[in-house]
Amino acid sequence: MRRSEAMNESWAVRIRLKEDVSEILFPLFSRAGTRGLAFIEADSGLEVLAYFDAPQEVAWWASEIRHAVGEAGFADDCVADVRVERVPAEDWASRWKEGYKPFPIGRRFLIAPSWDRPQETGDRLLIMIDPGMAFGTGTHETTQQCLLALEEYWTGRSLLDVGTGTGILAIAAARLHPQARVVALDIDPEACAVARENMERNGVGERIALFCGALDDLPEERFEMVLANLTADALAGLLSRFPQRLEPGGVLVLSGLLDGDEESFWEALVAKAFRPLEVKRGGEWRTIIARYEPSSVLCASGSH
Amino acid sequence: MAKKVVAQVKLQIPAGRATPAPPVGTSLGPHGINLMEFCKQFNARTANMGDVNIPVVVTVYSDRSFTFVTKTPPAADLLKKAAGIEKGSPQPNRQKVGRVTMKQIEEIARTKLPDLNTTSLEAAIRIIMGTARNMGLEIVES
Repeated sequence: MRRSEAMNESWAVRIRLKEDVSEILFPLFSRAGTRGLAFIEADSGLEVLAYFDAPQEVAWWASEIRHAVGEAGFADDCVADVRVERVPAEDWASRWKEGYKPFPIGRRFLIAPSWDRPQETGDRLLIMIDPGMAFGTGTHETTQQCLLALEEYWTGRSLLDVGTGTGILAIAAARLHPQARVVALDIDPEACAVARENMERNGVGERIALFCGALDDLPEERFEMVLANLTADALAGLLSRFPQRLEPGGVLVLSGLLDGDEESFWEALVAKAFRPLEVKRGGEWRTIIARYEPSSVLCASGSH
Repeated sequence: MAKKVVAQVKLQIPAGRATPAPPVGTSLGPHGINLMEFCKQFNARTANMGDVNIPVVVTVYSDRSFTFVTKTPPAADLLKKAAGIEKGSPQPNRQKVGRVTMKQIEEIARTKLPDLNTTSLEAAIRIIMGTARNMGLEIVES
């Protein structure tokens, strides 16, 4: 990675187009040696930013762009504006890390990026997660609600993490109860690769069984807790499968629901022999925690 | 996991050569996503595509994770291939460097249609013809 390039100043030619004729301009940018383009869509049209390593002359660009557009048979006025801006030198390779600091969740967890590992963690369990191409950095309400549910409702026998993303929940479980059986699954191979990396980074790679595939393809097994931080649609599709994955008395954690989703899920869970325990709320996000009690359905059926 | 989209960023960068410098840094940096990780993934996926610029749409989620999809190469790259040339003309008005047929123009317009901001094939053809002229390509009927 050419890190030093990220710290040199550069120049951007900013073109406002009323109509998207940007494709016509690409040969021009290419001839001029652009290092890349960015596109910003606005109500008034499209802005194209072409970046260069050397200073650019606005008059030359305005003339060339209008000429290219005219030559292609488009009206002159589809180019609304042409400007040249200096882009100050900035260490972009490091700046994105600003604001991403270690932070505690619940009573037991401390989430930290790999580049800012705290020296002292007190009695908290350190989980190192970097943002990347999988969901679950710990900053989102749903991840936090699941971590709280893990602390409060899991005794540490066995756990299934459905849609593991970065693997953060499975890692937290394996750190919380090192002897527990922890299984994590995701249908996205990219997420599985990220999860594997994070599990190894946190020293729990051998304690978590990572399964890349769908819930239906997982060998038959019941767990003390099933965590699923997905979306309402995905959860609705999986709802009928969860009873087959839970021990009687086991706890189901459904996260990724939005405010207003709880009621229909609540009813569906009761119909499947779940006893709702709690709804965790954070912003617009909701997490339902329910206990699987198949015997209560038998009792209720028997009483009729 | 529960994903919520906070931004979609459109870029065009050389295949296999993304760096945290602009436009990657200036466009994705403010969203706080892992720039090195993006560059690594983009370069890995596009390394074998040759010397072309690749349009890419990056979706940023509320926890600063991201995904991206690459789109069809720009028309200029498709035209170079169709005309069998390595690069466009430095003086497209005066110096022609090759020729493409209307049939090739239409094929490229159909390929590019999903990624252009138009649903009209006619408008797409006009854009591709304009691109060809700006590269110093002569357009012939057949």
